[in-house]
Amino acid sequence: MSMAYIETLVAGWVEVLKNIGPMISIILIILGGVVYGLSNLQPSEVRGKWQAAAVGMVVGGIIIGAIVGAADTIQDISSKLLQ
Amino acid sequence: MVVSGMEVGIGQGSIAAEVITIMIILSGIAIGVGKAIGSKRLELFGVEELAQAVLNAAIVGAFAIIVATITQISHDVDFLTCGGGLPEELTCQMANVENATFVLMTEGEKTSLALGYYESIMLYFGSFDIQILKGLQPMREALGDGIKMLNINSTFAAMNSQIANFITQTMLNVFLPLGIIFRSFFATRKIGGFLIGASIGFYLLFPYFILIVPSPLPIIDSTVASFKAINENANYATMPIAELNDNNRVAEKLYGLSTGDFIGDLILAIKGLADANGALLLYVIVGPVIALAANIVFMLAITEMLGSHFVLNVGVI
Repeated sequence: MSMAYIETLVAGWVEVLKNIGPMISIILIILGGVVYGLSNLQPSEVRGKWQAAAVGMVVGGIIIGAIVGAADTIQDISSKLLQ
Repeated sequence: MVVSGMEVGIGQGSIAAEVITIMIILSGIAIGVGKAIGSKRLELFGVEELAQAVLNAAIVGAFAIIVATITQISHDVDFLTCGGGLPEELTCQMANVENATFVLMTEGEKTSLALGYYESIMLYFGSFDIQILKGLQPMREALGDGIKMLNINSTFAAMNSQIANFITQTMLNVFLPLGIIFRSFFATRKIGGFLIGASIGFYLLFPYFILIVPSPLPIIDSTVASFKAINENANYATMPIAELNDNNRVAEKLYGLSTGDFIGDLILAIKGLADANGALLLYVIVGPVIALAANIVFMLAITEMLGSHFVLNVGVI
C-alpha cells in the first residue's frame, strides 16, 4: 500500500465528513424546529421537556455547522500556535 | 520526508493535517449530537477531542522546529568528537571500539601463538628431556579466554553500532511523524504518545547514557602497546624450527627470554587484557542495558503524558 493511496484515502474521508457534517446540522435544526412546533400541541406538564429537547437540537445543529464549517480554519490557526 | 523509500507526511496539506481536520469535524459532530440528545458524556468527548486536535495541530505546525530543536540539543553535547549528533557519535564510537578491539585480538593472538611455540620447546639430554616452559600453559589459556571475551565484546560493539545507525536513520524521520499521526486519533492516542516518546528517548537519552560511560579506547590502546612490546621484542622472537634440535640455540633463546623479563611482560599484557575486557563489558553491554532501562522509564512517562486525556477519560465510544 503506497503512501499516495493512504493520502487519497484520508483526503476522501475528509470530504465525506465535510459533506455529512452540514447534513447532520441541517437535519438537527429542522428536527429542532419541528419538535418545538409539536411541543405546543403537548400538555403543559411535558411541554417544557419537548421545548428543551428542541432547543438542544437547534443549538447542537448550529454547533456542528460552525465547527465543521470552520474545521480547516481551526486546523490552520492551531498549527501556528507553537511557531 | 523520505527515508529509505518510506515517506511520512508532516506539515500543511499532509496526512497529519488531514487527520487533524477529520478529528475536528468528528469532535464538532460529537459536541452537537451530544447537545441534541442530551448526552453530557458524548458532549465532553467532543470537547476533549477538539482540545486534543488543537494541540496536535500545534505540534504538526511546529514539527520542523521540534526536529530542529532535538537535533540541536543532540549536537550541543560537549563531549562529541566524531561530528554529528548523539546517535552519529554513538555509531562512530562503537565502530572505533570494534576496530580497536580487533587490533587487540590480533596482537593477543600473536602472543598466544608465541606462547604455544615456547611451550613446545624441549631440551634433550640423551636419556631424558626437559620441557622447560611447560608452565606457560595456564597463561596461554588465560590469554585464550581473554581473546574469546574480546570477541564477544566486539560483537556487542558492532551490534550497538548498528542500533545507533538505525536510530539515526529512523527516529526523527519515521517514528516521530508516525507518532504525531497516531496521536491524532483517539483510538491510537497511546500508541502515538509511545512513538513520540520512543523517538525522542532513543534519539537523545539512549546514546547519551551510553556515551557518558568512560570509553574503553585508552585502556585498549595501552594493552595493545603491552602486547606489541612482547610481539616486537627481538629477545622474545620465535626461532626457526630447524634450530629446535640444537640445545645451545634453545638455551640462548631461554637466556634471551629471561633477559627481557618475558613472564613479567606477559603478566602485564594479560592484566591489561582483563582491564580492557572489563571496560568493554561496561561500555558495550552494561551501559546500553542501563540506557535502555532509563529510556523505558522516559518513554512510559511520555506515553502517559501525551497519550492521556485532558477533560474526560471516556476511552473509545
